[in-house]
Amino acid sequence: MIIKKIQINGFGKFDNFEMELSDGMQVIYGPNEYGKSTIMEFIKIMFYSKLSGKKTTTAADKLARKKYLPWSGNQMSGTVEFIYGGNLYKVQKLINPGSNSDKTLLQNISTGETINLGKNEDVGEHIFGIDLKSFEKSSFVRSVGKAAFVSGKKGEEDSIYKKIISNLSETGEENVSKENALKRINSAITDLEKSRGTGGKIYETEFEIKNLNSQLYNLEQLEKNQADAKLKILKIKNLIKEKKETENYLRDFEKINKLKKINDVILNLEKINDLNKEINFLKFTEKELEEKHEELFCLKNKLKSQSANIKSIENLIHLSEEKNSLEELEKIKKRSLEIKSKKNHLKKFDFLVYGICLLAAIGAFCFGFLVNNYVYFPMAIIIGGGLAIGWNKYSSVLAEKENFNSLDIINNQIDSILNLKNSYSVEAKKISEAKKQFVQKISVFLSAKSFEEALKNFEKLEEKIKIFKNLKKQINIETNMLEIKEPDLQKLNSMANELRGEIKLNVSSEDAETKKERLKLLQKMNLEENYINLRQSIVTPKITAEEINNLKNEKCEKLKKMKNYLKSLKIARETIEEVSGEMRKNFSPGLDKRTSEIFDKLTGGKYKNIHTKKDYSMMVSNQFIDVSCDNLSSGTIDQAYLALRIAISEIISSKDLTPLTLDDSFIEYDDNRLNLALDFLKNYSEKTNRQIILFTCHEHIVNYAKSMLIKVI
Amino acid sequence: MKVKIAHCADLHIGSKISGLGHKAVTRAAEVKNSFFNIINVCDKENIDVLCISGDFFDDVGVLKGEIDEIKGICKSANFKIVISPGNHDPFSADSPYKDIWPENVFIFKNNYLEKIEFDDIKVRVWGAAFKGRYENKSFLKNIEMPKDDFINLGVLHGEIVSSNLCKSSYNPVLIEDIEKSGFDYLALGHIHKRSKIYKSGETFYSYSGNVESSGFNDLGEKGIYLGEISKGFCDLKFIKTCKRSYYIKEINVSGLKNDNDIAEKISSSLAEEFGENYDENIYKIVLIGEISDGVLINTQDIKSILESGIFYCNVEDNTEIEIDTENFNHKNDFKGLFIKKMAEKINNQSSEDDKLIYKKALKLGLISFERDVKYNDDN
Repeated sequence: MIIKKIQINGFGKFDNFEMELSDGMQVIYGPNEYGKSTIMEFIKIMFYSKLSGKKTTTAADKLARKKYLPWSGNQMSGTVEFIYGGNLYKVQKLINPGSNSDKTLLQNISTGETINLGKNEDVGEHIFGIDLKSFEKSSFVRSVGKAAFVSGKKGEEDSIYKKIISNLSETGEENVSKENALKRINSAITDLEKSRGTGGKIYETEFEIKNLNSQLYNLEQLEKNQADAKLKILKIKNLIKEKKETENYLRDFEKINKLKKINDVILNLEKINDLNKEINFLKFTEKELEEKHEELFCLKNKLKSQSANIKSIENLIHLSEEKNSLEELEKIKKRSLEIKSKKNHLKKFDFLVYGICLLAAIGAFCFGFLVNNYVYFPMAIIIGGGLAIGWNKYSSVLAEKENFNSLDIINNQIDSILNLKNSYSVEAKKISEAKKQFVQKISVFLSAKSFEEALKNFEKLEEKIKIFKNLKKQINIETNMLEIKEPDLQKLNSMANELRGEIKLNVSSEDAETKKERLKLLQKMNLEENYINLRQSIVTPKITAEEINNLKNEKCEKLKKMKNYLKSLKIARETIEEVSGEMRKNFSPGLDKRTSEIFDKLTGGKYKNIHTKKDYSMMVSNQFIDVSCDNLSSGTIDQAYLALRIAISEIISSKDLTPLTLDDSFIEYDDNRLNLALDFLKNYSEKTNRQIILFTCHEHIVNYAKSMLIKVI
Repeated sequence: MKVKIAHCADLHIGSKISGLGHKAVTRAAEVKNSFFNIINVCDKENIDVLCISGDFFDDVGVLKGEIDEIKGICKSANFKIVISPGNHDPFSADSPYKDIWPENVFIFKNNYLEKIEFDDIKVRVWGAAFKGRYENKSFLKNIEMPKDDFINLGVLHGEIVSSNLCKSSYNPVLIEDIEKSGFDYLALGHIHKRSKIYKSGETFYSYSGNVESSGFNDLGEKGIYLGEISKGFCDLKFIKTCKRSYYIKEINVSGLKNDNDIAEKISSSLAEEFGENYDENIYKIVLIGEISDGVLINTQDIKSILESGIFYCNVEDNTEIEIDTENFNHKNDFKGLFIKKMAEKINNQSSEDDKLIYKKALKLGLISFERDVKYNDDN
């Protein structure tokens, strides 16, 4: 490819600048600040400006764009005309710094067609077939030395290397298919085994096997648990049985108690019946009974009090009669009466006698006085005696009076006694009435003929009633406990019989207590619930251990197969790469050969053999020793890398050789070297028909060039 | 006295078929139809008793509709059917055997030996049922055999063990116990591979095997044993009742150049071996032989071609690359060098297994130049 003409409308300091270039080698001379680097940059940008498309538009790139903003204020734009593959092309570009909207127009002037560039394809890629980095490493020598060759990411074969290899090997197609093969193998490998972390079929299968193992384990556990559960179920079954039996036992115990009570009631009822046989009281209602009893009781009491009364009356009578019995009293009374009548009789006489006596007495007395006669004293005695008798009579009258009085008293007494006797008899009558009544009433219950019998009967009755009441009470209590309303003997008997029939076990009350305790315990255990839960927990597992093991074996087989497959893939990959490496090894000499040739010329035969390693470090070797280029002088290093670049650029150019642009590359060279270099370049350019453009600001270089008949602009 | 019986087992009705892709559903139905077929065959042969030695169903959870169908089929039979539930269809709390079954079906319920006497045909059938997934104790113990002229048949689901020391969770059966049993014939189930008819003492016994294959580990024809039993005499013969069988075949495709040719060779080989109904079977075809490195075998394509006729097949590629070091088409190009290098490595391997791995590597490498080499189960 040969650049014919460049036209800068706006770029850096250039504004409407045109330059024509010639074939072959030329030196472009201009002092510093002339703009040589700018022109170089322009050329580059014309072919490679598309910084967009890559996500990483670096700051440096952006800066570069801004750096060359036209001073004139115009837009960055320009054209380059070049001949390539026999055709004349023209590329026009309009560049907007800082944005992605550059305008590019590539035309094939010879054919008149406009070339459409691909999305990420810039002119350089389209025409040269290499990317910017490759371009900068080869034909576009902005700076010398190793620096340009430091590649980006580690381990990544840069495209230039690949290009070298592919172009050095027999066919490019093969390389492509090798790439594809490796791609397929790699994707197959990652399909089986992801490089990082988890994933891939092998991992999945291993995971499945792990799952199956844990399924097995779970199954084992399940079966163990179920075996446990089954044991527990058995235990619980037994406990439930025990519980039932205990319940039955206690139930029977209850029944027996009940039976006892019923029997008691029956007994009591029978007792009552017996009582009734003795004393017929059942025909009465309780109220009536009560009433009658009350009556009898009152009656009895009445009788009692009456008897008491009568007793007291009797007592009084006795008391009175103790003093004087009635007869005596009667006698006395008679006497008194006699006396009284006598008295009455006497009374009449009394006065007479009295009177006589008195007169006599007096007369006597008088006489006596008169006569002082002793005769009259006997008369006085007689009178006195008569008085005495009179006095006696008087006292008897008094006594009679007394007797009269006492007669009243006696009469009173007699009256009272008679009263008493009256009341006594009244009372006695009453009593006998009452007693009769009593007997009557009692006879209702228990016939009695006499009062004593009646009393006895009454006592009996009372006794029986007491018993009856007690029995009734007991019956009430018991029937309340049994919850029976009407204690009917028949019913009770039938109940009793029923119960008797139901009771099956022999129960004793001591056992019953312990059994009650046990039952409480058993009831607390929630046996039925647990039983149901446990039974539900027993599930027939859907899959047996055998089946899981079969699956597992299948998977293990598969895993083995996969692993072997993976091994095979890796071996294939390894081998492909080995072959590839070997091929490279075979072709690296090609590169080394050319580099060595150029280097030889540049160093004037000083170094004949140079070897480039994959990382672009270089080794020179002479007969004795291999020396890394780093150990050589910087000038020599420059020469080495220049040689490499030239060699590379030859190899990677697909058709026409790209122009070799050098930006003041020989500044450090001494005259000798410079001579050699320029000489080489001239010859090289002539031989290969390659356009060489050397920018320089050094006059001596220009002079040398001129002397070599190299064009200078 | 003699009786004509049929013996089958391990039908596993309701089981899920794996590995047949979309044909799985069809195959599941065929298993059920097999039973129908068996009943038909037995009817035609006028047997007296059909002994089903367990695993009649694949699982206690089999659908009610299916059960009803089966019951219907049983009912239509004009002979007695005796079933001893096995470990897959135990007589558990949730077993379909607890339902009401037709009158001619007799199902053993307990996990100890019991007997059913059929006076009309003078046959006594002994059997026992699995109550759960496992039965560790042998059922075949302590048999009090009445002395009469009844023919004694045993129907059991269990595993023959060689000695008391062998532990089995599936009703371990000792041969000495078979001898002591006093049965005239013992119909066993549980082992899917059919056995010959053996004799121990006066007792004949065998495993009838399952009635439809379940996979490639279960090859060959399947069916039932049918024939007459009398004291000291047994002429049971195998009758094939299965719809289709599984086979694994190796086909040598050396020298063939493309998938079509290979498919043709496969078809013709199978037809030759299995007759005109060969396409009813299920095959695993393993391709062997040496092919040249330019030939690419696509097993999926071959499978599709074959499945237009065959019910189902899998194709596995075990062919090897023909390494003709003398006569290389591409000597020094990449592929050629690759083949050369691999050939060297293959020769350097000492073990056969390693050799195989390297041979496969060669194959994969060459294939990878043309198309994907991702792993799939047929590779």
